[in-house]
Amino acid sequence: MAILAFVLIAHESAEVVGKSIDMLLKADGECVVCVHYDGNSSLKEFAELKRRYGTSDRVLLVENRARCGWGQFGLVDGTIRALRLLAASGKAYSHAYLVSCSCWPIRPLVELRQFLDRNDDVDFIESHDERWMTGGLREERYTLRHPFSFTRQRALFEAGVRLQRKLRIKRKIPAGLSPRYGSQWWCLRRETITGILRWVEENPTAYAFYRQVWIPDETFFQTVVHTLGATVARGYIPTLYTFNVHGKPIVFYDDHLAWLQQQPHFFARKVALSAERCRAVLFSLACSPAQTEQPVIDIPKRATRIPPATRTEPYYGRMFEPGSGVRNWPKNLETMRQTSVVLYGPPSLTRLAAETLRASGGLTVLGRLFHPDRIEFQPGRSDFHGLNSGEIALRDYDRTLYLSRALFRCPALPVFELCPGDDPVLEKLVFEKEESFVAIPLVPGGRSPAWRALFWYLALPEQQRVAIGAATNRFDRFRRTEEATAKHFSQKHVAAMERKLFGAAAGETLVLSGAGGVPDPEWKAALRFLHGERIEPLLSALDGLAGVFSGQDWRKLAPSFSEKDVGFAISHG
Amino acid sequence: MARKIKHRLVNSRAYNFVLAHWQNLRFGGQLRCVQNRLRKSDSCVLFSCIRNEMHRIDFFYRYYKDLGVDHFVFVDNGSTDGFLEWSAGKDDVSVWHTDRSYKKAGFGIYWCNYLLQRYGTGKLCVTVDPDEFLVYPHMESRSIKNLGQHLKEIGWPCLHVLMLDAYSDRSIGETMMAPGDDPFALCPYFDRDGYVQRSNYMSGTFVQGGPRLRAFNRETPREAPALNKMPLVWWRKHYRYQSSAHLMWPWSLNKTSMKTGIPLSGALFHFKFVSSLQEKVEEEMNRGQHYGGSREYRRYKENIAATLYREGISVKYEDPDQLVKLGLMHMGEWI
Repeated sequence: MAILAFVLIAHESAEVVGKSIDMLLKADGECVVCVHYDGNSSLKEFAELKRRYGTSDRVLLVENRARCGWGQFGLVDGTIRALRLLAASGKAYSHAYLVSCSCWPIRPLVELRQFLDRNDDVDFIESHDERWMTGGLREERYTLRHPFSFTRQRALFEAGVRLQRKLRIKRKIPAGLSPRYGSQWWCLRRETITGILRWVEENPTAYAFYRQVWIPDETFFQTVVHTLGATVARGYIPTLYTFNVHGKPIVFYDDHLAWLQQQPHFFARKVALSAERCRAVLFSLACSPAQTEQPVIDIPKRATRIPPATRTEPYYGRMFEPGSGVRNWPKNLETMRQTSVVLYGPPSLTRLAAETLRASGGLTVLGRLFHPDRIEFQPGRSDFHGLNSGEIALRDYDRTLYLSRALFRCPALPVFELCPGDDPVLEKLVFEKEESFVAIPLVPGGRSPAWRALFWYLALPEQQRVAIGAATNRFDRFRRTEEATAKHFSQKHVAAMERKLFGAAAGETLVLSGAGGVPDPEWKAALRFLHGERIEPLLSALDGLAGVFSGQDWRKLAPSFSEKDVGFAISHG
Repeated sequence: MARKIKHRLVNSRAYNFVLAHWQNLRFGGQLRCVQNRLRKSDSCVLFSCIRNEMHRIDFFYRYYKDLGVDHFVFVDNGSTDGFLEWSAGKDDVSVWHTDRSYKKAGFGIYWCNYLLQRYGTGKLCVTVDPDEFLVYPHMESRSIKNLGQHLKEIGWPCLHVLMLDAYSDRSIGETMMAPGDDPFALCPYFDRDGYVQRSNYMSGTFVQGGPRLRAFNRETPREAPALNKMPLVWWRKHYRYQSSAHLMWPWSLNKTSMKTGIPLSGALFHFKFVSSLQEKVEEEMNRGQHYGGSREYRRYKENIAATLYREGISVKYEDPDQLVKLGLMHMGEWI
């Protein structure tokens, strides 16, 4: 059976390192642990480690410590020193496994040894070309000199890069090397390790070249293994690691325990030091003498796996959403994920349509949510799941938020009434945002622009209609309607809405009396495409609604336009 | 023109530098050290300004201790309920005492700023009131230091939170709190939605909502108090809290989103609506030591008999995951 030699790269306190060593020794009775302790860490801690493990014949401590730092040569040099010590000690091993103190086993080590037995013809090390790196420096990791630490001397590091780019200084990559990249963590067979050590002996200049390569730990072993021509397992290493969008490794905590156990890997990093329960459970699992229920036998095809997470998907605007703000309808509607049906027209027509739809079922029909004086939900109800019809100031403080709250509280597809003057911005957007609104314009008479005056007349408030009706002459009535409309709704808004309702590009409408009839099947198909299943109750109610509308007579609503004119001759005669 | 000059001045580094030093001299001088037990190894320190809060202090201490706070620094603004005796027995509590005006000290934040600068620099600092309890994603299994580590990794100096006003299903007057009570059990409800936000490039996102908007400021929503805070900060020497910890200098700290999206955010449960509020309101009205002529406290007085619970809006708090699902909190990249 395969015998493991763990190469432990550590910089933590002696206690933490001790825990990792003890874990490895205990979980696998035959393994050897070779520790390289960071030269930057204190001598006192190292002395403590020596006191603990100096006499153990299964633990090797590298005496001549290299100074390590993120992205620096020390990590490579330390590993090489540890491998040399391992070779010099003459311990029997078949595979060397590189780990750190944040690596923790997630499967029994017995299972790992069986896995290595079965797959003893390959080395486990990632070997990618340049495209592996997602951002930052790529080729320049090799061609520039990087004497400064990226983490501690950031400004100097960047200045150095800029200067060399400007002076066009380029290093030549040593002959015979084709850079390969991949994760720092590997598991290599003994003959490959011997080959690497021999390569280092034979190519001291090439080895020294890596002193000023940036992040050599992600490329040195990969490149050398590639040069040696060893067979490499494609795209799989037994150590599980994941990165987030910031390029930082995802740290595993107690809540990842169940997920970790399902992964087809043998070690995971980084398991947090504070995740004590997770570490303890996995430790006892690692010690178990048998395989798990779903053992990893063949080399799995590795895909990027990210632990599952609860995602914030509210129906409107996330907390701290950038650019959100009160009175910003277009921006806010973008974040609203709700389809709603809008009945747009004069109040008497929207009321009629709402009542018809309410009777047909399958829809939640609300009243005029943006009535200037009150909030209408459902007839006879002043409360709608916590929203109150008297809270006008609150509604007007952030109207999109209010709309989304009202719509979210609807059990079925929401329908609400919107009348001219309720909210000029929303009225226009309702016709433009096809994904979030199904606009059903309700027009009295017909779709010809000739009927516009009737539309606006009906949309005006009661007392203004009375004033218009007081005019004896038909021309006066039209003129008064026009004046009152422009004054009440603003000329610009009226023009904009007329384009949407009666213009050449106007969509499908429901018409009161006569001309209406059955809605266009193409329109229905388009709605079905945009809104899917949810829209079905509306589509089935639409025919009935169209029938009710075409059966109505607009003359009842607007008697002042329907009565016979008193002729000029009579009134002046 | 004058407004423009004032704007330039208030946003200038020089002005803020001078102001910070002047405030530290003035308000730092008002503090008398009662006990300073801070150790060098304390990496996460909590700062709080309190006055007669013995009925909350035990739970408060336990709660933050469990989250992983190493040390507590209190500014005792003239407590008369035996707080000094309580704190004398604690190894990990330091106390500074003052009897001076709470209002003049920017509602306590100038005192905190002084102590933060002096003792919090380079550390992970939690600055909360004794009735505020921090909640963040995964808090059952991860400590506040893990959270701090993540913030450091993503290069984000502070945690933005939404303050959630919690209340019970009875009227405020009937919600009695006994010393040592768990406020989460006493006031388990909060508003699930209705948080109005306005983002501004300088002051981050200004959030209003909860019962203090829907019940106390129904007709005057503009006057509703801010609910955005940043109680957890990797403190640096020049940082300063402004306007009751809703804003911070330098302004760049107020930014709530980064290029890669909205980072991790948390929530701060605020247990103000209990019957001790009634006594507090009486006292505070007489002291006149609160914002806007104690306008807020006048509103509380008018509404003390009100029940804040409202069917359809109020939900019972279960766990941090619930807040994430409601969109009140984000996990960001900390999965």
